Amino acid sequence: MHSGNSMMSRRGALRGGLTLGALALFARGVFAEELSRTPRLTEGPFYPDKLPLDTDNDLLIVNNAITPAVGEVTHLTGRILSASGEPVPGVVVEIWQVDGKGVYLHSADSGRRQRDSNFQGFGRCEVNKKGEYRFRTVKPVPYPGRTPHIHVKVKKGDRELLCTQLFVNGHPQNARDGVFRGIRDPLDRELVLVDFKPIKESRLGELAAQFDIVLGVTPSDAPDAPRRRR
Amino acid sequence: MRLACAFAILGLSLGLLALASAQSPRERPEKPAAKDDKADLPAVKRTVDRMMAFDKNKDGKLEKDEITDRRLLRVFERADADKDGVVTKEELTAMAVRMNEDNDGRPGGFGPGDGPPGGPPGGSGDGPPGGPGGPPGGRGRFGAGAFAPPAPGQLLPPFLQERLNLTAKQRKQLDELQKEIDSKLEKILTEDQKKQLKEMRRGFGPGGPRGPGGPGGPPGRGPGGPPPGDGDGPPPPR
Repeated sequence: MHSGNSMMSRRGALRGGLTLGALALFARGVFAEELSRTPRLTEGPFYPDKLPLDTDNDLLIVNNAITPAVGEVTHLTGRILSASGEPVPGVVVEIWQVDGKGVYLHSADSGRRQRDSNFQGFGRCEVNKKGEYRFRTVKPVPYPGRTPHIHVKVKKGDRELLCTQLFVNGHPQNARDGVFRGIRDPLDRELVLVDFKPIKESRLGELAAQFDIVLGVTPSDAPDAPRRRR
Repeated sequence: MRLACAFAILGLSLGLLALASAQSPRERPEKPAAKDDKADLPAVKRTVDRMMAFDKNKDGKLEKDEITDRRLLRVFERADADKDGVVTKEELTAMAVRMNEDNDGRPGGFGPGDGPPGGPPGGSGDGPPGGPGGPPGGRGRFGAGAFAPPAPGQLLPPFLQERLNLTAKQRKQLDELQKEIDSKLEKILTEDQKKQLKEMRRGFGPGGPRGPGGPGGPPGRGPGGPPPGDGDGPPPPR
């Protein structure tokens, strides 16, 4: 498969800058069998009804206000891939979650309760050519009746390709969460469990979280997807 | 009259239970099933098969570099009991049994803060979307059906009470209102209708109507059902 070969030869060139492990995994076109698709999970009632002015991928600073939001700063990254392991280009990732006090950016939630105005609550990121996205946010905290989670959507223009949630690996409340338990297959549960690991180099105790998403759509199925590269 | 009906329902339930036991293909063992039996469970087999799909060189074992989906590396490491970088089919099966044990719908820590649990959530399944198990009551913690509709006859499910930040006085009033409604409903429905309603509530979580503040959740195991509050469910198991 020539696209696989071209990936193999580029691998040498890119090895200098990237962890080999990160590149070797999900290598293009290498899979005979499909990657497991990320489970779809409920959107819930708090997708923002009024989007903030600032919808970039940094949820910590609102309109360049200096005060950072309250919470454990987390760099959330990942790749959006098709089931055959290829990046899905041109899609947008959206995340939304409660602030440090458990309040959503939604008039039905924050109308009554004090929301942290230095936490954006919602963010958007367009993936690069490799299907990579990144956000700066906070580690999610529990919300009444829910284990900590971050809502995630993947969109192509207005078309929603996936709606799901990610969870904190090892959090004791996961076992009691209805949405998490709604995922029957234990391997599928693993696909939405994310490790929040301290970044050694960070003097501020920041965390890194990696959440790869596998869509049940091939790049060419997604509307307006570019043709396969030669 | 009501007491007699309660006993009749109890008797019927016990009768059904006995019938189910009698009809099971093999004798119910006194001890929990041996691991070998569990290895035959379809769910366990599915987990093993999915992981063994990574066995590229078909040597019946998994090496770490065969796990080309980095999301599942953690699973590999958990399965590798002797940490030799290789997962045998036995190690994989043992881990698959453990992973699927969490999934069998047992209560496992789902109780509310106060009072007896409203009911375990069940693994997930078909049937009505998960809802809280009992009428509003204590301030118990809950999880299942956080955004699901209330069980039949239930005024305000616990998660809504929490979200609305009801005061203690309001909760008490709500409790009393629920009791009043329950007793009035009792008088309106026939015995058969009451039994059906009870079954429906049980579908939202055993321990049902009289469980304070506990969650219910989707009933038992079944082909993948929608998670609470969602229009479409997770993709069917492959």
